[in-house]
Amino acid sequence: MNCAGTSSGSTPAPGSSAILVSDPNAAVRRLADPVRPPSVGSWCDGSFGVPASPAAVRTRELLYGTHAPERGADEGPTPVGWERVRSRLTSVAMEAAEHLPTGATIEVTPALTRQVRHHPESPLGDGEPFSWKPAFVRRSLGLAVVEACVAGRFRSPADAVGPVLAHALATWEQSGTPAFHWEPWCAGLPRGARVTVMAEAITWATALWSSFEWGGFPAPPRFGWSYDRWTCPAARSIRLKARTEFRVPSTAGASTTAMVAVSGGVPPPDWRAELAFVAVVAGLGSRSRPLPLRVMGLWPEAASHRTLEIDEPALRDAALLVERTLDAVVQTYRPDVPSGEAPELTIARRTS
Amino acid sequence: MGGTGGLVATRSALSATSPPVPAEPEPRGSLLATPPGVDCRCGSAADRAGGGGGRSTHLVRIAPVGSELVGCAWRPLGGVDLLDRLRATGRRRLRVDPELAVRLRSSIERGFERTDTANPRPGTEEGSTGSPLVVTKDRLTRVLACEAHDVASEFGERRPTVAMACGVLVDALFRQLVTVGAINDPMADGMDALACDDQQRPLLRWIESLPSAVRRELEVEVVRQAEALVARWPKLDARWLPRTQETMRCALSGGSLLLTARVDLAIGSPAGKEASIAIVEVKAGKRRAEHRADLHFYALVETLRRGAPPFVVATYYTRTGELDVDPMTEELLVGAARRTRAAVGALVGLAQGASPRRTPNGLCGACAALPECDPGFAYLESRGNGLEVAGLDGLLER
Repeated sequence: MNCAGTSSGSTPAPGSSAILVSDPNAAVRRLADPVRPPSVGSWCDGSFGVPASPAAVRTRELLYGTHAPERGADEGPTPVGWERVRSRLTSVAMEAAEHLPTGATIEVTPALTRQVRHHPESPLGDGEPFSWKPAFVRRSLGLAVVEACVAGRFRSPADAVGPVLAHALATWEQSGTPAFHWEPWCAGLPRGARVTVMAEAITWATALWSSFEWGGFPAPPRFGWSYDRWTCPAARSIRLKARTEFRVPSTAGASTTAMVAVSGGVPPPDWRAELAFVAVVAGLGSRSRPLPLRVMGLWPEAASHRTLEIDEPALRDAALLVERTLDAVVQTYRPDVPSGEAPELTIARRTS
Repeated sequence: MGGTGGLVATRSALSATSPPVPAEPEPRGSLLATPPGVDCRCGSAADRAGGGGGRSTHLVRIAPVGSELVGCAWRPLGGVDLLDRLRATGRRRLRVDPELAVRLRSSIERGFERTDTANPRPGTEEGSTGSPLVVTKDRLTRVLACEAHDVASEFGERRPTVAMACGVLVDALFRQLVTVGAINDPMADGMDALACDDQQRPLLRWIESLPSAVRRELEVEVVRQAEALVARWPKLDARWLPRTQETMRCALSGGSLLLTARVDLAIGSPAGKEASIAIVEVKAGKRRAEHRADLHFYALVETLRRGAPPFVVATYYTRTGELDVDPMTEELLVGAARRTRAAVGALVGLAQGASPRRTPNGLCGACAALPECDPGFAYLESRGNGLEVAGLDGLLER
């Protein structure tokens, strides 16, 4: 079945090549076009009737995998496989916890695994105190912008960012509870700085918005607002934390899901382990949500994506990554450091 | 094809192929007045006949800033005309050819790996770990101008200048204009934007510490350029996905080499068949030859990372309203790849401990290494004074 709506006249879908045209009159006509309902939001099944733009290719890959053989629901890790990784992580966490001073906690995040890889001598980083900046807002604001576009409320991120930001600030002012955390900071910004926040969010959101054929998903994506977390029940000082930008139901069945995680820079050497880590945290963090069958990593700056099928070797890779990370962090505790003087180990930055 | 010869061809092509365009909207404000030294009258009888009433409406020639223009009409483009100049380049847009990207990539990688065998540098992409050799447009230009200059520039922060401050503020205001379509108080908005950028805080403090007369001078220029931007730049349709300060990266040679760029404005959605993205760089200072090479580097990085080139790259000069447009061609991309390969070879040599070659050029007068540089001194003496004015100007304009 074709994705109805993606060829709608005035609103080229992301990934379409018809954004800039060489006919100046067409440009004027387009400029004069009234606002029309966006083409996204008309969900259809997994076949595609549009040329294979990068966005279409990526969408298909997220739904069906790299080589497109549709996997059955039973081809992901078995429940036994998930239990095995849970058990292994529990023992790894317990061992690490034994070496921690009283009261210290470790939060293993993708950022910490990268820090350990790049600077094994100082896995805790520079300890720079947190302060808000536009780069820390762009992801959550950008994600809200993309969600609004996918829902059909706006034609593109540049249209959406102003209303979405205004709505967030108004909601916070009414309720007193910041949904994104940055509202109080953002509300106090002068115009030039607030525009920088908006511009950062547009650029971030546009990269995600133009990376997929949103009408090609069989159901609306579920956007990830909060982190997935797993706390080792036997050693509560060790936590795993990760996040994904959105998930869609897997074509293999309702009990599994395909997830997308966006990162900066270029794909790291151990992107497989990093994506597997994201899947493991999502899988262990909730017993009620569908288990991840596939994770796509998106590195917009490099215009790259990588897709990882989650199977038992992937789960093992993730466990190994956690183990190495905890080892490196625990090494920072010298025997002569008395308990009670433990440095703050939680380096996950509050980038919302 | 990184030289200036292509510019002439491009201008010719523009003049020859640009379709007649309707009369420009009446300029708003005094800032759209003809730049000094520019004769506003129509250049030829044919132009006058076509334009009606002696006003040139269908031929806009791009002339070097500050040059004597006789009988040549020049006015900055604005509104839809400016947009059309970007969109209708007069050349057929490149088809997306994955083979081209592969050839460009392997050309640079071969050059890199040939020079880097003695000291393999681990990187960030698959198969390697550690710090890659990072190549930016500035580094590329510096090392090709003079290796000793590149080494001298690598350490320490650049000393702020009024021109640099103006450039950074105008960049921020351009971003604001694209994002919200308006600039209310240019100096205040620009300073607010700088204040929330960690990297610009030193510059912000420097501006705040300026004597009031100098700061006033800076403000006047920033306001002048901002008003011209508002008057000339059309609102970009949100459906064209305009985005500002987009970072582009491409890892080569297994991640050992990282090309990186940040473009002021990108428009268009990535396409599968035909080049569809326009890249625009905004400059608050004078036109310089390196600007074209910078844009070609951007186009190269875009081609390598997406497999699809931009269809056009352009530099917009906010001081004058000039728009230099380069329709992207395979030859330009190949030229950019060769230039990048040459620069990478030089950078690898320096990283491996080679003695930096000294190649005197227009930047010598403002180079930090000048006190220890005999060839630089000799060059400047041969030029008849201690500073090469154009070079210093150029440096200050950055």
